Amino acid sequence: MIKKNYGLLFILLASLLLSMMYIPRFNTLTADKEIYRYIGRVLLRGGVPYRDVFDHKPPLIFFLNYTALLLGGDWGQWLIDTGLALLATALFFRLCKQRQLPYPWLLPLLFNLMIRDPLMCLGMGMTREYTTMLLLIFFCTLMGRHRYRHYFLGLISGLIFFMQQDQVLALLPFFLYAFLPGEDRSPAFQRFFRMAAGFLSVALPLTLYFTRAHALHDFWNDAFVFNFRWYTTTLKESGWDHWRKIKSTLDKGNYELPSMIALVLGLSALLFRHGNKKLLLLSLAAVLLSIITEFMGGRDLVPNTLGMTFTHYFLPLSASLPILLFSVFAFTEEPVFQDPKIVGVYGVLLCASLLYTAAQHGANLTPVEADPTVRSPELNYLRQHRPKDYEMFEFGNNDFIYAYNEFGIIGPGKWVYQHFWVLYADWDKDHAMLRSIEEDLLRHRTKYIVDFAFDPGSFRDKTAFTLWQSFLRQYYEPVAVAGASHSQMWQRKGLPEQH
Amino acid sequence: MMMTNRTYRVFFVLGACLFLSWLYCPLYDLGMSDKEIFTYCGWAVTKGLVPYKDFFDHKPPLIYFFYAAGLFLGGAWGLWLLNTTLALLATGALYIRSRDYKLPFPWLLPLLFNLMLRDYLISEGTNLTREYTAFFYIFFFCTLIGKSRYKYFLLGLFSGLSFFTQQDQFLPLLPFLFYALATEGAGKTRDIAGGLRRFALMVSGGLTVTLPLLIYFAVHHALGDLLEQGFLFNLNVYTSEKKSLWDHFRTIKRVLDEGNYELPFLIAFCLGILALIGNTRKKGLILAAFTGLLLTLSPELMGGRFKGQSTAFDYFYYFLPLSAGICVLLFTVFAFSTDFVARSRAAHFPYVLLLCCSLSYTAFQHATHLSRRDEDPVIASPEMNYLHQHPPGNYQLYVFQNEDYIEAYYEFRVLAPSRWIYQHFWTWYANWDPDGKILRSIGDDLLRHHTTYVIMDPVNGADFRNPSAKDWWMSFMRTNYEPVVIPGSSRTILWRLKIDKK
Repeated sequence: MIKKNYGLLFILLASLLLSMMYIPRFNTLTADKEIYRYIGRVLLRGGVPYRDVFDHKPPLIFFLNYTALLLGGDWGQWLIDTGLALLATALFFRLCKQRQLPYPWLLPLLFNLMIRDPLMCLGMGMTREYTTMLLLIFFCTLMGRHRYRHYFLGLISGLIFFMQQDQVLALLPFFLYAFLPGEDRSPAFQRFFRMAAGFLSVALPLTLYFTRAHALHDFWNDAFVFNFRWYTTTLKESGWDHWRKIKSTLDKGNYELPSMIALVLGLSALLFRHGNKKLLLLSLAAVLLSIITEFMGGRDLVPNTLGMTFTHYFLPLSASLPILLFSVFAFTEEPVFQDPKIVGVYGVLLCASLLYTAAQHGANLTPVEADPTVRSPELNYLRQHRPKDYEMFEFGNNDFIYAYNEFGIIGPGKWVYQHFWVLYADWDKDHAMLRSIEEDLLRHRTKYIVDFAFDPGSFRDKTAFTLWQSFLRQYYEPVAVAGASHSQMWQRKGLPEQH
Repeated sequence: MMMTNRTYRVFFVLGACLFLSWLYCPLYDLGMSDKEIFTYCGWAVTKGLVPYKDFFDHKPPLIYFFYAAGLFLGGAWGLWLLNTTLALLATGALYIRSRDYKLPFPWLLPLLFNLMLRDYLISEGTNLTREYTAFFYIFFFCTLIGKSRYKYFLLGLFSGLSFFTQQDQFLPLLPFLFYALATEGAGKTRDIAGGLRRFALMVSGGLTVTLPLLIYFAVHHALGDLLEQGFLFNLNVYTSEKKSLWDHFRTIKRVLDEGNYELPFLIAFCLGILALIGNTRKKGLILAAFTGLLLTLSPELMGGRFKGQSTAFDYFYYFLPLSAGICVLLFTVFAFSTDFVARSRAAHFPYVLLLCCSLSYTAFQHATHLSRRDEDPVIASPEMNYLHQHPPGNYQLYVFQNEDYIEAYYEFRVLAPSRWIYQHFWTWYANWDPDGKILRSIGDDLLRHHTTYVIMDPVNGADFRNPSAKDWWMSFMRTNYEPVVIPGSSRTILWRLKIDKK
């Protein structure tokens, strides 16, 4: 093998190895991912997102999970995920090599270490993981000279927008860069139309799909309007609180050193001789925009400035920081930043702590079976009395959506998760949604309800709590579950007693 | 008069040092048991008591004399003044050397030293032993790379000061001493006679510290106690608990990370290795500084461990000497690099930000959230208020296992009735005082002095690993003392001598 391929082989193997830590047996169980998997199954059964099941993410993540099910379920998803990581890694490596960076594998390695950082990523399968990979592919396309690159830029931005809306913001500086005079010989309007064509290649099929399924309105309402009207209106935090939370999360999640080093080098490069300060400045802007979700996304019920929640909001840094570092090293005109020894020192500083975390994670992998939800007495009970489609409903614990996926079933109603009743006092004021859940349960003669909303705190609106509890008591009765101190398992009245 | 850039830089770095020291002035320097112990010991020395003989501690003796000098000069403010003066001197010395060696940012390392030394996540306030040895480390290094005619004498003197302030902190000086003996004077007196002369000068410097101490303790018939408590105790008891190398590694990683030392340590470590394998001048000195840096971590490998718990306790202030070790290593790398770290400002500028940003933020947070000492829960406690209304005299107050309250001795300027001014060894070690002799001596002292007040938690009682020792002590307390009901305190920790025992 010729010497120049060793670097590529090394970085691809590193990417593969890091992905191996999240094979289905060891992938972290997270409510969000269980929801996506569940909606993928709804699609498989002919259902339509938003119309037949509520979620407020854009639709591509559901189609991705649907494809994964077609490919073989969890392993299918791992293959898609790992394939994308390998593609992004290879493209980025090629770019670094083309620009003659001292260690062309260094920044791709940093990308992989960050995106697989167990303290931040919540396992494989989160929307921002995919948009992060796409962001890196977008940048590699932007820096390349492919004749269809503007079309691809539009295509990738469409994929990002319909995977995780806010992440399209991180692309804006690079769109600006793509339209800078001198960046391409073709006229600006031509570039624009090519990009628009790329974007429409994603947007149009989706629009047609939802139109045909009479779900365009639901799609618009749930995936877009909902986020502005509800999701970003929870607890408002001060600028200082945001700052503290960012600092605390970066610190505890092991992103502190890469963030500090990248920003410091970015700012330093601006002050000294550099061949492409426009790209540098725009890359700095992209870093900030990549974590804008911190200011727009969901919140805790109380300020959590020192804890570790919503860590996946910071996952896009795993692309935007290596991009910034690329902009520093690829165009610097200062001999010190071109010196392999200097870059090597920064490389050690960037990767040392993340490598240690990865090694610790690799040496202490936790199987899914060890997850409290998977081991819960309620799930064990259901394994012995295996429910079919519509025969089980969980209320108030998003992690338990895992049960639908384990049994390969779909639930009886559209409202597969219910935390909005906890988050918002004026959610479902007329109880229409809650009543629709009850109607669905009765209509499908659902056998089991696993109710985690037994605490009045599960509802901001106490009348909703009363309504739900009275429904439960009227039609269902508690089942004693071995190993559970407090039974959350309810069985429809009139069913023969089961042991 | 026009101020030059150089003058501005001096003002900046000394101003930063003064500002960071101010954050720990007596108004804001919160209580911490070790410091309270030193305060009592220092004050007791001014009253004629002799360390080790009249009170137990296992630190070398100089810290008590520093405290005695500071308290004599002006109480807590005198002590702060002494500490701040040493900080300013160390800062000034490092700045002068940085300037002499034409470092691109001569204020960087003095500033970093101060930011690390005053990092409240690590330091736990001022006036701990390793803070003083950090000053001596800087003085030592600045002397080593300087041209003073008394250089070797001063190296010996600072070694002696370090050794008799905190034994383990002599170790990081050893590589420099070897370097000085082996390579210094090359081309001039690099012969056996020259080496012996340098060694003799070093020894005479060391003896300048050692001899007065030995004479003092000999005159007071406490030489045996000094050896026993100041040195042997640490080898036989204090360092006897072991933990695995992995646990040490985890502790080091955790402390560096949570204490905000991670980036300076990593940068110094990486640049140090690169300097050693790269093309640099004075590799011997860089190697000495690198080894010295690692040896400043020796307390982690030698110090206290479990505090009676099943999991090891991480002592953050053990890492304070890194403030000097890191700056010294970076100095050698920056000053003697030839090829890789060019002397351009572009090469150094990112290091300026990386080394100082996070620590400056921590200092800023600390400065904007200062707690006043008079709001300290111990000082503002109902028990202390009660004692202010009923001030105890000499020997009339004893603090048992509530070590933060040791400050009460100095607060009321009273001597403790027993030489065992702190008692955590009963909590830490199962085989401590197996025959109960020390415990009974405390009981005897209390009864002999008719000590009026004892501060001890009545709800949980005293904390002993040995149940029979606990039984004896609690029975002694219940027989002779009764809890004092204090308005405002639901759970008083103050006990008073029973009337029939007076």
